[in-house]
Amino acid sequence: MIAILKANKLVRKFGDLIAVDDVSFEIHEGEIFSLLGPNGAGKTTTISMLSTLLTPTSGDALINGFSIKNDNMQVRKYIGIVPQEIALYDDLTALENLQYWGKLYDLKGQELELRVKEVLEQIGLSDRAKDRVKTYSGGMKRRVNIAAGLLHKPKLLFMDEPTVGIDPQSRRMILDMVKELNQQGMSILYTTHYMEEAQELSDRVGIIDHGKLIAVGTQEELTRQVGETDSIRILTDAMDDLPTIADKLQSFDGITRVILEEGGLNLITVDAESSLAPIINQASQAGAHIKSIEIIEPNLETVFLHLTGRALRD
Amino acid sequence: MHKIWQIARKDLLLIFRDPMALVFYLLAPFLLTLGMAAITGAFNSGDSGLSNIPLVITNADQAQLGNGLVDVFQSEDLDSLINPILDNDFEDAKSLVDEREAMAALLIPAGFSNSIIPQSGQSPSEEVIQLELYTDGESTYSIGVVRTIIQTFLSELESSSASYSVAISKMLSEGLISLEELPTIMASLSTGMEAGSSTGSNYEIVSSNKTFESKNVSYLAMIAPGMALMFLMYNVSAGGVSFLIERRNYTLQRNLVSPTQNFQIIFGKSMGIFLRGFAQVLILVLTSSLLFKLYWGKWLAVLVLIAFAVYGALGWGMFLTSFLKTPAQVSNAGSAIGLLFGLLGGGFLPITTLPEWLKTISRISPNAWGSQGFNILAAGGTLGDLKWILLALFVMGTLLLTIASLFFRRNVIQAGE
Repeated sequence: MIAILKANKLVRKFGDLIAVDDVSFEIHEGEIFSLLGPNGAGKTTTISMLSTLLTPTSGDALINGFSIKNDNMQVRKYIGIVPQEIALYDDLTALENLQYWGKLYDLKGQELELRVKEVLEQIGLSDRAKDRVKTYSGGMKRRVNIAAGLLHKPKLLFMDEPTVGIDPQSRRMILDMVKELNQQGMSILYTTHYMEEAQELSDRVGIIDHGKLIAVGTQEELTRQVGETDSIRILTDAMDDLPTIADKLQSFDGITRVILEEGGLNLITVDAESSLAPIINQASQAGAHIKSIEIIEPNLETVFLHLTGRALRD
Repeated sequence: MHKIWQIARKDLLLIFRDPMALVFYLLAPFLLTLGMAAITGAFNSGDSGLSNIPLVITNADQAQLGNGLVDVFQSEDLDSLINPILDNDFEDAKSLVDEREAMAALLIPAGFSNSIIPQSGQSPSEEVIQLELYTDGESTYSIGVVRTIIQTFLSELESSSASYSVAISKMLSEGLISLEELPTIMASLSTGMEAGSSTGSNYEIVSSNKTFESKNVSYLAMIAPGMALMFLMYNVSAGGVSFLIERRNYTLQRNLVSPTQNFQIIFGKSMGIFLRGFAQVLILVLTSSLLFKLYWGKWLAVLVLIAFAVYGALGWGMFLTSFLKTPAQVSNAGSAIGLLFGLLGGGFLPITTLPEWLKTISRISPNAWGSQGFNILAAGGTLGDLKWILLALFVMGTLLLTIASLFFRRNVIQAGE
């Protein structure tokens, strides 16, 4: 496997705050690599360094063999970026926006016109190309935001939470587009705090929290780290008694960990099915009215929970 | 250069897409300048320049008083105010005025001295001697200054003749003249003094004007350069705000991660601001020139001066942007400095009315230099006359842009995250 990106001990500090702490990972050519972590975990700062916007406090990364610290102009030719925010000029049309960004990537003349036309078709906005961006819906803006990063056919595309705040239909379209781009051979670094997106898209996942990359691997490799465990999520209205109930459940055979969550409990267990009946019984005896109960097989959320003791949404 | 132009073009396009911004940047200065002139009700009472007033003098008298008047205009005291040009042919002198090379032409006629101080063996002239002042008809404020100087000179002559008798008594008592000489001296003096007392004087100033279609924009001319430069300062500080707005909207970051050098982005956006500022001042100059026949000077020199003034102002705008963190901070600081520099640079009152210490302080502003330059050009000055002003504006712009660029990466680019 050829690595198109090699990040080596990246650190970025803002005053006393360490936003990214000793992060190292690789992205292989043709793969989708997701950085999964909650808000404030350091995903955007990592992408900002890799895209040469921010200079690392220490460490370096090579993209296509070029250093982000020393060869940033070379690096920029190989990467495309889809920022988390809609980075477009609202008073320009989609066509004018794309022409402008294309020119900054050294596209000219017929090549530029052709690429603009292609990406407009790709995002399904050819018929609205001459409308100003400010007249677009949030989902349409997101699509133009992505298109602007694709014009120069980058080898490596950085997508920083591209589905935040959009409707399910646009979200589905973006996820399908990511898969399509990957099938065309583009390597993608995708950051998200949605476990489902990382699971659906990623060949490999890096889990990041408090600036540290705490696990990297395929989904299978990561869930294996957790062990053969399930989690049982219980929602209850006995909010005041939850700590007492949690203490009692902690002593049950087969339950390895009990995590208090908003509105309920999350129990990590070796065998959810055999543990289920005694758990319900104990909860009822404690006076808790169980509103719902859910058995979750190991997934990235479980991994995150296992590694950090917190849910992704916390 | 291609990318620099693309960035500048995009910024201009954005301005043209925002009608309110367009009105503010381009038309508001013009409308407000007109408003100021209208409110003061002084459209007819001034001119554009109070320094280096080009005056062509034809001294046909070539005697003591004619030469004395020329000496007055050439004196060190009037060095910065009057730019005297000697020409033996009054018709030539008038043609210089017609061609806007000078604001006025003064004819000191032959016999001017003799009409006041009779030469030995000659009787004083009884004819009323006319000092003729030919003007461009527009620059009434400057011409008023010239006229005042001439009248002051003539008043001095009158008061001198009143003191003749005192002087003669003293000369007699000290034996400098004899009693035998006295009747002759008194006769000649009394003739001259009688002529003077009967008419107030035996000389007068006769004015004639070149005719123009409109002459009613003089006060506007006086405040228009200052207003233009004041709005220019607002404009460029608003341009600086656009950097921070782009940072807030994340388009600056997107520009910065494209294969575009930081300097290209800074130059491109600066060029956009520069062109916008240039257009703003040019619109004011063109419209005031076309609608109100306001004379700004020779076009090439005016365009060069606008460019340098915008460059100086751009330096201030970028300097503010590089130090301040938010669009609101830059807006507030830009407004404050725009107002202050407007005051110092003739946006509200002619700079000549400011106290000396304030005039000195005003040199930190592009407004003061620019206003001075426009005054020189309006007074008939050439590009060569602006060399120090252009140099000052260039140094100001370059120095401030250099400082701004040093802090720009740290305060604007890296602070973007």
